Amino acid sequence: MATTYMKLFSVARPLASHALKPAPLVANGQLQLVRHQSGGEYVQTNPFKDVPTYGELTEKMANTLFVTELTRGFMVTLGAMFKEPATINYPFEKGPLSPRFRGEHALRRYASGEERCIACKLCEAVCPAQAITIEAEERSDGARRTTRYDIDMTKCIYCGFCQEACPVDAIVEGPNFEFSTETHEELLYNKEKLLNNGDKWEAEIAANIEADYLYR
Amino acid sequence: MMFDLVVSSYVVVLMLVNVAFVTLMERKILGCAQFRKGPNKVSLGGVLQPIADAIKLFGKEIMSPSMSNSLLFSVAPALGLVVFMLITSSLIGQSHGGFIEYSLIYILCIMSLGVYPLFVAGWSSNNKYALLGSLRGIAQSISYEISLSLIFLSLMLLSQTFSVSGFEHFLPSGCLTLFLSPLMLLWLVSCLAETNRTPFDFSEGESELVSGFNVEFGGLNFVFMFMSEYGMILFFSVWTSNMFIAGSSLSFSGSVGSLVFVFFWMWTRATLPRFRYDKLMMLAWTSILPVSLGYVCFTGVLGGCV
Repeated sequence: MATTYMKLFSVARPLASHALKPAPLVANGQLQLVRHQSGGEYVQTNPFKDVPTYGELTEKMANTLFVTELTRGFMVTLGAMFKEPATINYPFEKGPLSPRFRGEHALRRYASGEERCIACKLCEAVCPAQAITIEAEERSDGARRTTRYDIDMTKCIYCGFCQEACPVDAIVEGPNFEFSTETHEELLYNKEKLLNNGDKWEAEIAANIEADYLYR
Repeated sequence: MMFDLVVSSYVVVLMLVNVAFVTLMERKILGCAQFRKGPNKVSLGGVLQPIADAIKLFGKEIMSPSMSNSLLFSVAPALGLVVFMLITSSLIGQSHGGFIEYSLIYILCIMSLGVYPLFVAGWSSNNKYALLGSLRGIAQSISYEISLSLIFLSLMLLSQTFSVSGFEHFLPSGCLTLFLSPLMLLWLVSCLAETNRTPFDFSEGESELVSGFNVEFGGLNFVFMFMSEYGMILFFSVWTSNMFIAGSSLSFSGSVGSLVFVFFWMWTRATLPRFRYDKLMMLAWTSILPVSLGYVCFTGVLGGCV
């Protein structure tokens, strides 16, 4: 019977006739490389066993009869149901933030109340999204200060380069990430808004800088 | 007669209310199985979520695709709900005021009616995905219905009854329990396939068919469709516990049993990925059908002896 099938098969596809003969795949207990008809080499990782032992048969039968694999899978999900959920109840609970978190921008002041920014325009130059626009003039007391400091928050990619470029730690990205608005215009920040942010978030920003200064 | 109808419609209404909370139960269980919380914002722990969902869905505009068969399109979901109502009205045995004497035969008849809403919904949507989904669903439902009916038949032969209340006097015990436990496994698998639930939810098939037979449905129509789907789950759970565990769906153990089986449905959804379609058919025709046929033969002999 088997030989008849082999002949039939070999007539249809003469090249494949070798594939029907199970070649000795395991010699000396080691897997052998087999040259395939197509010329490629492959290793039989699960060598074909023609006669299963009695023990293997009973085990397979028991596994099928008592659906052990399914049961194991079901028990995994049942166990998962009793684990604590990973959900954070968001507006009321919040996840931890790194001191390096780059959120909403702020312009800081010195403790005296004097604004830090000296209008060096390094941030404007480094900004890859060209989101920052600065205009500067000499003030009446001779200090160099900005007259205009705008950040287009919809252009900003929150890379933090402005913060890194700033020599006086004036422009920083604070920990606030909840500043969505309903209009585009509200996200075009001017100097006043940025300074207000700085006043509002000064405590957190200072703490973050303090926590991270060794690595900057 | 009037009283019977009132009792039956009372049962149907209770089941419909229950269906709403079965959907909540499913979302909660799936949530727990995935380390989430599930809906927990509406009222205490999300208990009223189904009602909020219903209000939202009922408020939606009813639309049908421009080239669809709009009459059938609007009728199909309601048809599904009607099938569900018809089948649940049989749950009460005659001794408790049910009005159908041969209720098991009745259930078999209505069950085979269950593919029509699926078929009509898929076809009338005039959408490739919906059509493919419904075709798959029909093929699968019909295939599994055969073994489902055979399992049903073997239990009928054992208990020598055509009525739901007949199971109250017949509960498998001792050796018979051992003999029937594989049958229950087959029954559960067939039920999962019959209700188009997760390992066999080819009529949905969202990875390739978007949402299968119900893509085009929204609002009220979707509610009906959803309710009939979950209603059938609830019905099969009640029914399973009725047949294999409690003997009556009115007893305490019957209610708890049906809750356990509803949980099983959700649990399966949390655990098993979708089967392969050819394997599904192979399972139906080459494994479950022969075994259930064998059971029919055995129980025919046994039923005569017991």
